[in-house]
Amino acid sequence: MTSKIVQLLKPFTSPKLTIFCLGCAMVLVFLGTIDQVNIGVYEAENRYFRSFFLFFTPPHMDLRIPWFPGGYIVGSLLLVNLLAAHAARFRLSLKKIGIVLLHSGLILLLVGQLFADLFVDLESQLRLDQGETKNYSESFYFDELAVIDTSGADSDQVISIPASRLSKGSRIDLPVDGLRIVSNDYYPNSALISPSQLPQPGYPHLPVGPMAVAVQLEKTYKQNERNLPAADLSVFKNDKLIGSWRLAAGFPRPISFQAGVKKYEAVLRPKRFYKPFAITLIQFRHDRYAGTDIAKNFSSRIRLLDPSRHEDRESLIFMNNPLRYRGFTFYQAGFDNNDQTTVLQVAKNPSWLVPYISCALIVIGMLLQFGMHLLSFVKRRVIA
Amino acid sequence: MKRLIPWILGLVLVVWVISRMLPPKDAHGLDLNGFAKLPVLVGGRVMPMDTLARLSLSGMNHHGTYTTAGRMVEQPSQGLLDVMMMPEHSDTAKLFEVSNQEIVDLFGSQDAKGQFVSYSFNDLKPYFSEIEKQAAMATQADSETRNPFQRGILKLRDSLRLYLQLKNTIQAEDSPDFGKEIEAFQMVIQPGIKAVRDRDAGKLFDNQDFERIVLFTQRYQNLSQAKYAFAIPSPQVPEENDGWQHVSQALLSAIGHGQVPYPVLAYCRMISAYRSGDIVGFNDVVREYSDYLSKTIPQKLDRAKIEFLFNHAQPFLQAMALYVIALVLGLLSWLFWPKTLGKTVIILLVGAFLIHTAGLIVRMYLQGRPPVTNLYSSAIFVGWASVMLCILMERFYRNGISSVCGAVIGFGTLLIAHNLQLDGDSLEMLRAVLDTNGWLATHVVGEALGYSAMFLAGLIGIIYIVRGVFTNSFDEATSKSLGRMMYGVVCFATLCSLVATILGGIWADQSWGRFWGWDPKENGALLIVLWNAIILHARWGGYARERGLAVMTVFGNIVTSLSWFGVNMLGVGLHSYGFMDQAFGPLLAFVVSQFVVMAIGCVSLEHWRGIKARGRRKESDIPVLTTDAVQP
Amino acid sequence: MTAEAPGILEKQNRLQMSQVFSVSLHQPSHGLVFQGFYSEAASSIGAALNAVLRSLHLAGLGCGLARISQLRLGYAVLLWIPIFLTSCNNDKIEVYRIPKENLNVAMERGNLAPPAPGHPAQWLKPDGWSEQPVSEMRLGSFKVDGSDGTSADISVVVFPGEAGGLVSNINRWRGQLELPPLEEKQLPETIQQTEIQGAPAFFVDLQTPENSSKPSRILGAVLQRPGRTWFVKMTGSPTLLESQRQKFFDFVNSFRFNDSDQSGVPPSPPRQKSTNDE
Repeated sequence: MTSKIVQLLKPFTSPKLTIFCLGCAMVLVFLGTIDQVNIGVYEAENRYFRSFFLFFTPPHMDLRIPWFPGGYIVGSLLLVNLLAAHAARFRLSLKKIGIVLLHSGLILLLVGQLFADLFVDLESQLRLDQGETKNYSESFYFDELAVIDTSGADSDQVISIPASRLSKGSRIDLPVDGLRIVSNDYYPNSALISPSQLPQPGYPHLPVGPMAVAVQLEKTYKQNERNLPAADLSVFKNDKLIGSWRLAAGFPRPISFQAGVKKYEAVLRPKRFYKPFAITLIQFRHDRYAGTDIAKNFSSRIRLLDPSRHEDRESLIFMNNPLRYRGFTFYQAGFDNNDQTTVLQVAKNPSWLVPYISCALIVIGMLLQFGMHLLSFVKRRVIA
Repeated sequence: MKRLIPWILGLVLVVWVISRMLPPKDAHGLDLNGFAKLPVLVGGRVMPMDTLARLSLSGMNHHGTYTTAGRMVEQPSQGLLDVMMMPEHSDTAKLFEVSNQEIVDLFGSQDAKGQFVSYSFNDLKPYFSEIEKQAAMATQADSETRNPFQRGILKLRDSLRLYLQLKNTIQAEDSPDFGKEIEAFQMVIQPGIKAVRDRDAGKLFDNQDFERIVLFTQRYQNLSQAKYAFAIPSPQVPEENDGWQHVSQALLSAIGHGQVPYPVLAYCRMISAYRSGDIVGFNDVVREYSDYLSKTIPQKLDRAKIEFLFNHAQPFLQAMALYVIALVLGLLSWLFWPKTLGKTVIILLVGAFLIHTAGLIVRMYLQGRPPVTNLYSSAIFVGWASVMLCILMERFYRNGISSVCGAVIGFGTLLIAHNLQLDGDSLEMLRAVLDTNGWLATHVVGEALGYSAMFLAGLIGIIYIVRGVFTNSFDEATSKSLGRMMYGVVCFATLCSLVATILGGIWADQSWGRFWGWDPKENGALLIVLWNAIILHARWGGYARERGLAVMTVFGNIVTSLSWFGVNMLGVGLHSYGFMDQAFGPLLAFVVSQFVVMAIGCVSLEHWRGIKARGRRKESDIPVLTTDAVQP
Repeated sequence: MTAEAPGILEKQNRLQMSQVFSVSLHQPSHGLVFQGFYSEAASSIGAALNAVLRSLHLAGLGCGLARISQLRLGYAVLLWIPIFLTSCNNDKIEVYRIPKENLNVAMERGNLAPPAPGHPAQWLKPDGWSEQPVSEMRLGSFKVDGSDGTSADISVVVFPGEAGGLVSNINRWRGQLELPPLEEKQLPETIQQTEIQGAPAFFVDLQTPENSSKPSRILGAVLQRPGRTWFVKMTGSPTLLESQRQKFFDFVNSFRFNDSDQSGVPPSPPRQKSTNDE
């Protein structure tokens, strides 16, 4: 039985496969780094590392030809290779203990990152003006069309539709009240200008307010810049038109409508992630070195309010010192508005402890392994 | 006797280099060194006037010198002294260098041709509005898209600005006698304040006193626009930097408490003495002021004094000189008198290493930080660590190869550092996110150790290939021992870079909330780890023997250089405190050269002179795959 | 505040494969396209994978993986996909409940006047000021009564561009108070410059000459926004204005301009400064 398993495992245990995978990983990392100049870190991450294949699209063709394995495939193969190699050759001996520890650390790291990737919420940001309180954070990359049923007595029901689904002509059936949303037009990125600033009369635009129209822009991938979609939407209830509105994420002003007995609001805005607690910015500080503009430190004094857990306390977030609360990590990421607004990045990573453990395993394993090499080497030298 | 030759030769050279590290004697009896040691707050840190002079001058021209009346002044602090105290002198000094021909053409001077054209402040005066206009237009362009003209004009504008600020650091440059002015100001303060109070209270007030104090206030408010170097210390909080003041701030706050602080008066007396050529008087004031500082802010003064000595000693430059000599002798030792020369090389290498170490330690003391805080210091540290590894290896192998490697890397990295230093203050204050000694000491130092081991392995790889292909002296034993050296160094590199990379991940988790974010600098570190893993697995799997190892470690040089400098040129990512873009050409040349070496290394073994000479089997590089060979 | 967990009640429209793979790939007939990557060793690797995954199962690493182990490699690779797809949760419609939107938040921020539709600015109205009807010209209009029977008028007006420049506008106000016009270089002495929301703001405090028959005073603010200039002006008796001075400053400082106010050319998406590249 054992020999049969070993036989089966053999092709997977080859160091050739290891080298192949590592080589592919290098190519991926290299390309994924270079391409960040063009498409930014987030998009590069999706295309190269959080993908099964790299795709090539020949000019003027609607084809996507996979030409290189993506991060998921390379990572999984490497994992399989590691596991198989150890399963096939696993022998408990003092000499091998370093290698085993090292590789189990690596396996833990890979698996941990994979799971983190699967179950982690998207990163989002919490922008707070001085004195402002929020119980939600907002995505930096994604927008949503939020249709909010405001007829409840003490709570609202939010239906969040990803803005990416609003492409022109699409119809979206909402899971409530037989509502349907039809997109008449959609700009993935837009700018708001005053009507008088249109390059020429009749230039395509969406009027979103008495003083502003939205015009389409190229999608941006720049660091620190975000896309602001705009859409022209019609709302139907049971196939009967309720009304049409133009919405722009650059001007997140809710519109309201009545559908049957219920009152609704709709707004195009950065995707929100509500938290079961609220945070108030008490003060943001931007310390500089004496006589210069070089930043010495950024810090936000905040108040954390969580009635369900009977917490109401102040806390200080500064560089290299995030706030960890209920599985979320809030760290100082930016500022705005003449140091009046703080921007906290919000991350949720349930497996944050894993790297620490795997780090310990790898370090111990490597020290053992190379230490033994060195020891035997020195011994040989001394004898010789 | 013969055994003593290396010692004598080595020690003579080392002593000669050390003798060059002493600060120069003061010329004409003027206590220039005393002035050069005085502390001043610039860019958030306290530095000696000497450093301020060096930084400012090297920003204005590429020699970093001060040339007046056709005579180059040796000491930068002499130039600063003139700028601060006798501006009418320095206005005629050819300080501002223009290397862009289009800018020269903008000024319309026909005789000025050549790579660098130098102008004095007075030469440029007629063109100020034009320079300001062009610079304003240049700032409109994105910094990446600016052309050489725009970059040059901005640099010139900044130099002129800096010059104006320096002129107004301890006095108002238009004052015929600043000491008299301050005397007059002191007499005006009390009656002036009274007049202002009376006026506010609606009482009768002395109009003359009132106008005088208003005049002085406005004058010093204008002067405060030149705020750059803060020369007036604050004795109240000797440890903090926040209390330091520009002379204008000190004078304005003097209106509040009625007393001009002593440092302002001391500088006034220095100015008066210097302007009247009273050398003895000047020296007395400098000594008196130094004594005052040693009582009020002793630690800052000590650091400034040590930095002054450090500036003059230039330990890294001296170490570089020794590395070059060691390199030349080392290469000769491969051909002639291997024993004698080899020993001399080791002595020189150790001497250079000690100087290098001393420089590193002084830098750490001055900054109060672990050794690596910016690109410049990473170059210095990478070199230092490589040389240390080489000395250790030479101790084991005694084949003269490690010491040559040490000399090459020591010289190369210090040369890189020397060029990086031209960008500005190498002891600059740290960006907010880096302000943590724990991570700097572990993650950053670990990465730098990884780099140094990678370069060392790559250099041994190059020596393996070059000696194997081009020399007859390459035998089986040499091949084997070089292979072992490469393997050992690669193991060390793997250990360092893997641990450092994971530590970096943990740091990122601490400060940015995620362990890994595919940021360019992170990816660069990952590439090194991956490549090391490939090398090790290729060797363990028996796919690569000595030659394969050599070619792979040379590729490691490319990976390391891209990770060290290349990612900084992308201009994206969170690690943006190390950005630079000028080095693209040299980096490309380096990468190409490494590819050439790799190609040579891949030449069929028939063409290897070393192999032919030893006439042994050629299949030593053919992978032998056995199940046992797959794991070590 | 009462914050209950935003339980996600429903999740709908699970991601379809077509949204990750191009159309040509997810159909079974084309599935072979990328199996080709491994075709050389497919059978033996497939068998080997089974064994590996079985051992994973034994190690208790999860039933999802174990299920895969019963299939052949090609399908196994395909079946890995849904596992990964769950990670891409940014394309689904979500429905959840939240406590009544922001009531408590608004309360804490004070009486923030809700912006009228398309209103380009928001502000905080100080206590004691009463709102007056707005007109074509006036975007905001307020009145405040003094204890001495006089009252002061506050207006908020916006003009496109620079509206004639700072000097001429301040001289216009000076003219209203019988004051002589100023030259540009005298300007810095009479105005106080600050910044509001990243754009320059200028305050002036003007008063009629001492011998004037009807003493009056103007507290004015000029806010230069990209492409627009805002004027906030308070007119009234000197004594009343003295008591309202702080409120006026607070009022002007409370101005928050809406994004649609970014009418400068060219329009650009918002940028914020990162603490890492500052």
